[in-house]
Amino acid sequence: MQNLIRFLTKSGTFLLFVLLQGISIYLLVTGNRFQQSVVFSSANQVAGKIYEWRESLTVFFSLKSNNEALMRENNDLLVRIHTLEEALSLYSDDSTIPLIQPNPAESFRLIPARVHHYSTAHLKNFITLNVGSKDGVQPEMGVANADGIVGVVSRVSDHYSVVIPVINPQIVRFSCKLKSSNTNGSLVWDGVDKRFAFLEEVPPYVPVSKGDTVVTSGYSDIFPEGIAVGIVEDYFLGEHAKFLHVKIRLSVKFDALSNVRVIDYIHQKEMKRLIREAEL
Amino acid sequence: MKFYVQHVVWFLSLIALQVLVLDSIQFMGFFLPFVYVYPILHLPANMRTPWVVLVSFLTGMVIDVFSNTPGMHASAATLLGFLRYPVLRLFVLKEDLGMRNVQSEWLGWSVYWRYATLLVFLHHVSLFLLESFTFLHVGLLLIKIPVCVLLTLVCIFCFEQFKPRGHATKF
Repeated sequence: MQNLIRFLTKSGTFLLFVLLQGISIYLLVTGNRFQQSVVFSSANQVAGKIYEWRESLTVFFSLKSNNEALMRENNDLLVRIHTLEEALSLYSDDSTIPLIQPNPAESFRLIPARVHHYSTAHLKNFITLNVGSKDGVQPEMGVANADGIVGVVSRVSDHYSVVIPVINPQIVRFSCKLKSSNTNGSLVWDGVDKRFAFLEEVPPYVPVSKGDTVVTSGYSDIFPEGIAVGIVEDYFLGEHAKFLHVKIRLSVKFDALSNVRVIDYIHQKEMKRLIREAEL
Repeated sequence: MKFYVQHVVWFLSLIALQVLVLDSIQFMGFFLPFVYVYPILHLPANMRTPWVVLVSFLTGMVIDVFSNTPGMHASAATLLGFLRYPVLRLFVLKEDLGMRNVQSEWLGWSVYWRYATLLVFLHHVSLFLLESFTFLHVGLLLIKIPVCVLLTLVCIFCFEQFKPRGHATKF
């Protein structure tokens, strides 16, 4: 017993060091999984409040670019309304053809959110939003802004949520497609440059050209179809010529994020249930 | 009392600087300094290592909470706290360690730089290795580590140079 006590006091520092390292490594290994507790993330109340306070100070500096982004988005929406109205008028003019009713059950809902904090310098980047479960946000919902997809919600507290952006290797793989050929691939980020990501598992016989648009495929249960991802920058054959690696210039500028939308894909739950049933 | 308050203020202000300002400003894309190591380097020379380790761990943990990286900064900072005493002993005799802050006025710039550079380097290496656990880009790390070490040292130089005069050196 005496020896034990002497041993403990003598090597106490080292034991403390090992203990604290153990805790750190444990958190590091287990801490970044989906739906983990929010205590150790910036979605917790204290960190969330502090980021909110900081954002309220810095929001003025980005008013101009925010306005421009909103105006651009407004323009796009006006153009779309116009084309849709024209399309609709074609049908409504002729009384013999029944009016096309818009689908009453909408397939997704958008939750507007503001970015409180984001990082782009790390390998594992994160974004903190000012909306949480009280606003209807849940883990594994998609996040996009006017330019394209931003990421996927990972942790949610009452008032805040943490998003894993496309520029974090831990993001769940989801499928995207080349708009020109309708070919699917999954989006990955290699951790090097925040402007580029890769579309992988593209068959080698698919015609790809620089400048092609890449959009979400709608096969995943996170994003609806057709949201912009980026533009093909380059492409090359992978090992054994089995797959093409397509380098994509991401359409979202991760240096300047402010307004985003969380996509509550209402069909998601239904799709998940179906898939589960099919797998059984 | 004033002595303790000054240390607490250093810790709080540099943590705030790290998470509120530096994390959002990056130099050329992906380089950033980790200034929260400075208050750990600055702790009194004869502070017992268990306390240094504990303080470092807590500092790292706070940074982790804000940057959503549970365990990463905590682990690197704990290592820094643990290695602080051995590294200090490389440059200073045991008899000279007193209840005074480790700073350039006491050690002289050349010794202080060796002390700071070695510890900052060890901290950054462990931090970046932990960060890239599974996604190891050796080439990227070889650029990232020296540049970030340099940025951190530049910040430390500024703190050392411009810290308030009459900063308590003795108890």
